[in-house]
Amino acid sequence: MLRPALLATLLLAAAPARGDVAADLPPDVADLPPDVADLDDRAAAPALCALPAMLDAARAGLADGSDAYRRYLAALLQEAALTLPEADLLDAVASERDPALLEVLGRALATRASHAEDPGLLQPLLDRAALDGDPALRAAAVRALRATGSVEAMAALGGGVDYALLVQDPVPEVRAAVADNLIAENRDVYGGRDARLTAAAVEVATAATDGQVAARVLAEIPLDTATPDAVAAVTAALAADDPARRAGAALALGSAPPGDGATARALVARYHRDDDATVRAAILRALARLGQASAIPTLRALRGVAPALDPELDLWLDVLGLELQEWHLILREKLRRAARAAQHDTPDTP
Amino acid sequence: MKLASLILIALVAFASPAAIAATARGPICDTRARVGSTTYYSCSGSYHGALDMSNGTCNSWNHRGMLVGSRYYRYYGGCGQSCSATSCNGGAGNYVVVSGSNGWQFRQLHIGANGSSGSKTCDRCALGLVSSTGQSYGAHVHADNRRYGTRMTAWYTSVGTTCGRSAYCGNVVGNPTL
Ligand SMILES: [Zn+2]
Repeated sequence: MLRPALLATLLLAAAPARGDVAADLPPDVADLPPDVADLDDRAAAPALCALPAMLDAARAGLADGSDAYRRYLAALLQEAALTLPEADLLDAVASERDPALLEVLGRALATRASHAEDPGLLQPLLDRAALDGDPALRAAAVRALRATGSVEAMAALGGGVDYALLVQDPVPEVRAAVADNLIAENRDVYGGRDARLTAAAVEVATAATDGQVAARVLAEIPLDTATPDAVAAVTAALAADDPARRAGAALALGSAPPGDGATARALVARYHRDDDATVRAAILRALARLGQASAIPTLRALRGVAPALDPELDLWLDVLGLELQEWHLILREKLRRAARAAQHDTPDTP
Repeated sequence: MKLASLILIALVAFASPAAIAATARGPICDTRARVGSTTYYSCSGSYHGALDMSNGTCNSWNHRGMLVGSRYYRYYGGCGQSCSATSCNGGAGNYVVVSGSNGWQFRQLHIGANGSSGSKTCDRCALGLVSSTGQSYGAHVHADNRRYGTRMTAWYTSVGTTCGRSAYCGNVVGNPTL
């Protein structure tokens, strides 16, 4: 049983970040006034523990531990990474062959890079993501970057490896990890609103040959900070062969800057031409989001174009008529009513 | 299954994101750092609805991002160095804002600008100096978690943070919503 030993090792390594234990330790050198920092000789301080021993123990715990225990291990290694010798951490990320441990180690390295504001530390992890021969290891390396400020970090490194490259991976697991990362980074790092993230998402959706990945990225990353060129690229995707990509593009355009009405006109034109119910439903939702209460005449004019969609269209008209002031309130009310309608559709419901 | 059900299944995945519970540590990597004011000023005065934390110094210790995990800290600067109260930026002094979903924000105020100050994405990095820019009496870090501009208190009361609690950067002082 390795766990008690592992806990002791990791707790020791994490000690400088724990208030109760750290009272006797010198503060981190970066936090001291310059005159004090100059006197602190970091090289003379002994290492608190050796990384290889921690990794052996973590490898065993990740293989057979519960989900909660695995999350705990990941969190401890992340904290330890802030104070571990940098070269050891870089070497471990460059050479680890166990995907579960590579993901945890990579996340720890990304945490250190973000803490130190040094994107260059990410290079070995980016190399694994782009170049490793084992797809499971490439996917693990991509997942390690999730919600770490990776889009900015990759741009700062000059774009040799970026998500538009990684989304071309031949293996679906890697491509799905790219979509997950962009969505999580947009939500967790930027609160759902950042021009650089939006630009990266549109670039990835355009570069992706995987329609499902493109659709997810488009549908879940709002375009409200998008440039006119980015909006044009998404508008062009309304004509894609893959219905999932068309639906994703339509949903995305619902969050585009309203501008001169060109986006709404493109959506209406597509509604007339498309023959896929999911794409048409996505267009109705996008028009509702773009115009909110002012979209009512546009939506009314579409009644009868696709009779099967008219109940959906009427649902939007009813909800928009309530004049709720925020999109998330409008959407929540729409989903609530749609769920009730779906229930009443089922034949065995009394 | 009727069309309405199919459409619901196709679109329900794209509902607007729920707010996230974050973890906030103390902003000063000095074990002497303490919480001085919470819901009421000096824990007995008028309404404050935020944490004030200090270690009794001005312009010598780093003011660190409190949120665990990488976040985009948007910086609002323009206030000159000061170890006493000013009206700069409406009393906030130099400050950073992390924006979340649906009107939620986390802010850290009264930063003394230095080379670390500026909008950036990072995990508990230095944001400037623990200082007294803005309406601040004695250098400190003011941290609040607001929704549409209203200061909420549950983020620190829920973890039992009150006056005298350590504001050291290894200690959790709250779970703000973002
Ligand atoms: Zn305050």
